[in-house]
Amino acid sequence: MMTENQSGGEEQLHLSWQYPKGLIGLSFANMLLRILTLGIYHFWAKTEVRKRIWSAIRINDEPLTYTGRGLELFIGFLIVFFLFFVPLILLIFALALLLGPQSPLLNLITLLIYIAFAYLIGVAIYRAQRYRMARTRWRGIRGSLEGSPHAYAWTYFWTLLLIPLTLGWIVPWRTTKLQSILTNNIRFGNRPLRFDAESGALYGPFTLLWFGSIVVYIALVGFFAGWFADLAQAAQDGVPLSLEPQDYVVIFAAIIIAGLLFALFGSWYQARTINHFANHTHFENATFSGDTSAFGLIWLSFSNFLILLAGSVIFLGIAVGLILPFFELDLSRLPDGRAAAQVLGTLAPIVLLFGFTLFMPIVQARSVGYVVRNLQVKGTAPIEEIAQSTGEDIKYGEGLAEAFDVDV
Amino acid sequence: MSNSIEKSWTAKFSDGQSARSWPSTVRLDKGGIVIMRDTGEDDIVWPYGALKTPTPLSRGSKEAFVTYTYMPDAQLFVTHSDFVELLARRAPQLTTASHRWRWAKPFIALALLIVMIFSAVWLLDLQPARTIAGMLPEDTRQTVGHNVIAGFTAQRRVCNSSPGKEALNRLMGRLLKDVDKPDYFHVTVIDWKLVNAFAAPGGQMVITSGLIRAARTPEEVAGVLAHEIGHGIELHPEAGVVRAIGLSAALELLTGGSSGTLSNLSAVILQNSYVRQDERAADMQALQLLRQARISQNGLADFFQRISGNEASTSSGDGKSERSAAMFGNLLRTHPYPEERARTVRASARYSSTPAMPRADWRALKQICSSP
Repeated sequence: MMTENQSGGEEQLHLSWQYPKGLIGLSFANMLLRILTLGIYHFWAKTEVRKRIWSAIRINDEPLTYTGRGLELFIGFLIVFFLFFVPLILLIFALALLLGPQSPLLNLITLLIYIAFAYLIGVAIYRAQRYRMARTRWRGIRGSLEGSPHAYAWTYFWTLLLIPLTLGWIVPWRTTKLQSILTNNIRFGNRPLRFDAESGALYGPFTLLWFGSIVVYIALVGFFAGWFADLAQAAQDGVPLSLEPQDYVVIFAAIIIAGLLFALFGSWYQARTINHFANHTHFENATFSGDTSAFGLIWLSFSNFLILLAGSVIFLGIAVGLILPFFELDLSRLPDGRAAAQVLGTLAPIVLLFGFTLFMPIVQARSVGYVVRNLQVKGTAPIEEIAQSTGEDIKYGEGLAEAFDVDV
Repeated sequence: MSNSIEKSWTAKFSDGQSARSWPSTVRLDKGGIVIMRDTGEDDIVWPYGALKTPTPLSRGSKEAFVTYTYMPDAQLFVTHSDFVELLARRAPQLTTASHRWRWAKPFIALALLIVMIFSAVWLLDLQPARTIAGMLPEDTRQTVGHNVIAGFTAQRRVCNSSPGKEALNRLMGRLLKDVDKPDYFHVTVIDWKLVNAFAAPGGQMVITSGLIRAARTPEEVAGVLAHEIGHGIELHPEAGVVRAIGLSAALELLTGGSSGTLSNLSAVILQNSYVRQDERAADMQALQLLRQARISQNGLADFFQRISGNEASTSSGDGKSERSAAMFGNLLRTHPYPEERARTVRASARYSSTPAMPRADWRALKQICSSP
């Protein structure tokens, strides 16, 4: 369906999601190429996935496009790795070798490095967003993220330090402030997005999350304390300690119920945050609105986990199938099977962990899809007046973000 | 074929100047895509060779999203599967397979190159880590070695009974009498039940009280010491540290700089197991040292072989041997290939030997950890 509701250059906006095709094939192809290229293909794989996800997001039935390139991400990564991480590692290693592992100076330097990291993570997030915005287009018009990463990084840094001091109560304010800096600096072409959310509305859900978590935690501790007291009493009475199958069921059930409650509180807060932020994001005469829910987010996380797990098992199966013939040779050479068992024991967790990334493209697409399907835009934009972005072009990708593994 | 050329499809065209979308009709001509805007502006032709796409066309795609090299901001969006199919044939560079292969090609070549370099290093017996280790100044090596030893002695008592220490020094002196810089080597005995011995950078060595207790003859201790000195002469511990730095750089990369392996040098040394050729080289040095010192080489073979026998008995299931196997296992892991060592010793030419140390010294060495 097309909504060509144009009047006086104003066009009604609407948002939709068209699930990308061929993600399973892409997952296997990316994995194979990552292995064949000893991991270097990672950056191209990431780019390929983004292209699919971006183009699944439709505004007025026309897709967003991602125009980033793997090479840009790769060069960005190399720059950060060789100019930043390698010298740092060599420095720490040299200091550890020359000063000794227990040296106070070494500890001081390590502490300083951690503090610098906390700041640089903020820089990394901002720069990564800037790159992504610059590589996002709709109808050929580029997005951009103006402003300096340092304003964002500084807020990120000092509010991070305050999280433990405020027992977490700064979190809603912090998230809102950071989102405000980001969104208010986003441009589509020559037009800005506006974000006017206050953190007040988030404190209700946060209070529930905070106290709910404490109540659940105390209940769980109380439950186990009582249970262990019974056991201790039984031991004193000379009854031999043994756990019946139903005991395991009870323990398991208690942990599952507690986990579910934590997830429920957390997801409810998260959903309220997403919706609140969406409701206060505007573009020209249009406003977004969010409709995500706690159950929706819980189901999303759970089903995504199952998909990743399935990928991991499939990958392990393939790996074992390919490696097994070699192992059998080895077993025949070493009758006690020691070497083969050792190799298998070492490799299996690595293979499983690596396999977890197999279906990552599917999971990422589902996550973005969930949010987009639960977002609406209402209102119009003066489409003919939106001109191409004049922001300067960005050459390299998200090296710092890649190195810190922040994906936002 | 003229059929397909004359067919036309509805499309959306954006010129990249504004966010406006122009309802258009497109045709696939011989020379390229012809874009005819419904508002009557001039037709635009985009030759196939200069077409690009941010979303590669895959089999079964129903949409084509095309850009043009010479109008980088403009784009064309067509939602007809037969258009996609025909376009993929005319502009094969737009397909997923071509995209992926084009990007992967240089990197597969790079990966092959890396594999070839590794093979060359391995086949030609190049040892880059050792070469780098050899370039480290002696001061640095010794500082590193002292720090490694400090890592152990911070947690365990150093055995320092003077008769025991003197006996050990006499044995070391005998082993090192024909070595260039005998003072370069130094052995520390630490009070640890685990049976182990290892060499650290800068000629530093550690043997455990567990090893001295487990040795049946002074020749066995002499053999182990000679073997560790052999590693030291060959700069294996230094090479191990250089290798560990390389590895941990990679690990730091994977964990974003938080793996904490950097400052844990003692662990690096303790986990350091040598490859077969390093063990062989250390054994060759050990055999020579023992020969020069006129100490029987049998101790070297006996000790490691006895340990491997011990480990094989793990499966017997009796608790005691399992416990001792756990203690011996560590030494065996850092000093593999006991059978090969025994064969080498047996193949070595015989010579007349004298006991490694007098009985009194041997008793004193056995007691080295008994008093502070």
